[in-house]
Amino acid sequence: MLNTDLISYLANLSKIEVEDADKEKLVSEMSAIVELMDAMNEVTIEDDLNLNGEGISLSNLREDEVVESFNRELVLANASHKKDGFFVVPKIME
Amino acid sequence: MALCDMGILELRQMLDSKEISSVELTQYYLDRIRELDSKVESYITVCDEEAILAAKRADEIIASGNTKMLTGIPIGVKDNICTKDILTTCASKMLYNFIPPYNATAIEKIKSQDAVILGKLNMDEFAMGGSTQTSYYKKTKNPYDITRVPGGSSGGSAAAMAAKLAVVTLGSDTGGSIRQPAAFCGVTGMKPSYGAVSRYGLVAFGSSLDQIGPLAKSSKECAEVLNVISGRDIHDGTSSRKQIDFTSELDCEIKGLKIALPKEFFGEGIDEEIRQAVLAAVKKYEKMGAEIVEVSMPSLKYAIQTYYLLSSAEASSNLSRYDGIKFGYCTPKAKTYEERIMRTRKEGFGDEVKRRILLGTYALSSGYYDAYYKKALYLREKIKAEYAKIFESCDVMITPTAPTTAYKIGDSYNDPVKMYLADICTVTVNIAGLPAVNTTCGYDKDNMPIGMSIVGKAFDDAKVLGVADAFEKNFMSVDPSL
Repeated sequence: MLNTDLISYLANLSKIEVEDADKEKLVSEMSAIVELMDAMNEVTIEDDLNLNGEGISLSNLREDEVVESFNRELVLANASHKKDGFFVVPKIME
Repeated sequence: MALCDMGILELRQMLDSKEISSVELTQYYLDRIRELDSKVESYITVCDEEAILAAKRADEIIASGNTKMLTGIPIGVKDNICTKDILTTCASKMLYNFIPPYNATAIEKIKSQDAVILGKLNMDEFAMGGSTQTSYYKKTKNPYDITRVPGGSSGGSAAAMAAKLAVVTLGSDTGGSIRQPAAFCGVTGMKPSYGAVSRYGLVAFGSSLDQIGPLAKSSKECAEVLNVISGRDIHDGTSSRKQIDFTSELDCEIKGLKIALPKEFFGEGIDEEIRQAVLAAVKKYEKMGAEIVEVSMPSLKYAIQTYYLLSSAEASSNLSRYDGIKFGYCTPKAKTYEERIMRTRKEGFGDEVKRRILLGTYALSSGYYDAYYKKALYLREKIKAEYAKIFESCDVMITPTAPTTAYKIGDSYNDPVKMYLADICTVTVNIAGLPAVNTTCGYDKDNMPIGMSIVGKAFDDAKVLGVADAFEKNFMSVDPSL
């Protein structure tokens, strides 16, 4: 059963801040969605199919060659905080 | 014939014979957008200056006689396809300021033919929705009735086609996002086989399901665009080496064609008017000599679950890149690293995007993985196997594109479960990676367009377009009055 603790856990895994006041609403919305998904409960996985899919075959991968990458200034142009050619983030260690 | 009624093929002739210049044609479309888009709200960004510059370049190419199919043709692009130096928002606050430093491969390809990009089209935020009402910027209207939704997520691309605000548009389809809005807006829209068009530069949602495709006046026009944008790309390991000539079956013989009708797609939940219109279209194929074969797809029962679990699981991973650090929105209110990421994502994503990330995280999390994600993978293989069986004896399959026609703005918007269930007719095609085209087959009592989908075997895209083309040649479409 979905409850506010599970919503907090999932929000933390998803790195989305959720305010306490919004948790009840999310429990109700997500419960309806999970209930819809639970129609699958009656399905049992049998050994009749390959679950790994076709995947990407190695022959489809490009050669592992060094090629020119994006210009650093161009990549940093979209960052909100940058300095001396680097992204800037708040201090990670105290 | 008015200029806005002309497709790529007619315009190609006019441009090449210098009856009109690309600058004149582009200005004509920019004027139409200025005049009409305040009603439809299909564009997020209109690129006046860039478009005229591109048109001038196209006119130089035309003068040199070196034209290709899309040279000088004005095109609209869904706002989740990266365009170098042009704002690409994904209709999200999260990307309100994102100027891509590169072009998507599909864009590189149309630009290499000197096509003209008119602007970027509205959509559901991160392509998650079927109404174009979850956009952070505007709510696009259906040109047939501006109190109704255009469908989604490529609602801007479909509405712009119906309102004739571009010669052709590009959209993307993860679970029906080209075909359903095409149905709601009475235009043709094609979701090619998975791997036919490179996904490089398409903002990732569900990477095993996403495909870029065209919305146009006809299947013939879709085929011409697909011939330009398709092909192997070293930037997308899932792009196929198979070479398809999408135009090769345009005049294909319908006599002897085997058309599958899956009974589950015509059952409960499908509007009676839609069922009747699609069955009437099937009758027309029968008159042309096709053989109709009733088939069954039992796993359709679990299609919505399979689709929402797989797409949300992939989305929860794909959307982890939005952290406020590298690009896009960044919260001004955070002291720590963790706070910056979590608050940016709280403020930058809309409600529906958050719900899908949470659902995907749930499906992938320890203790729930087997019950949800693994089971969805199993059902994906079941659905693929059922399609494979149908296509052992049939050439194409016909289904309704959506269970209803375009509904009123406001309806369903606050009920995610109701919204998800409405995708029943389209999602299996993405789950199985198949090609499918929507074409209009009638109008309901409110004069809203009804769409049918023609689905084919993987990489049999040309056949699907050919079969749709045979119907379109004998169908009188009705324009919206704006």
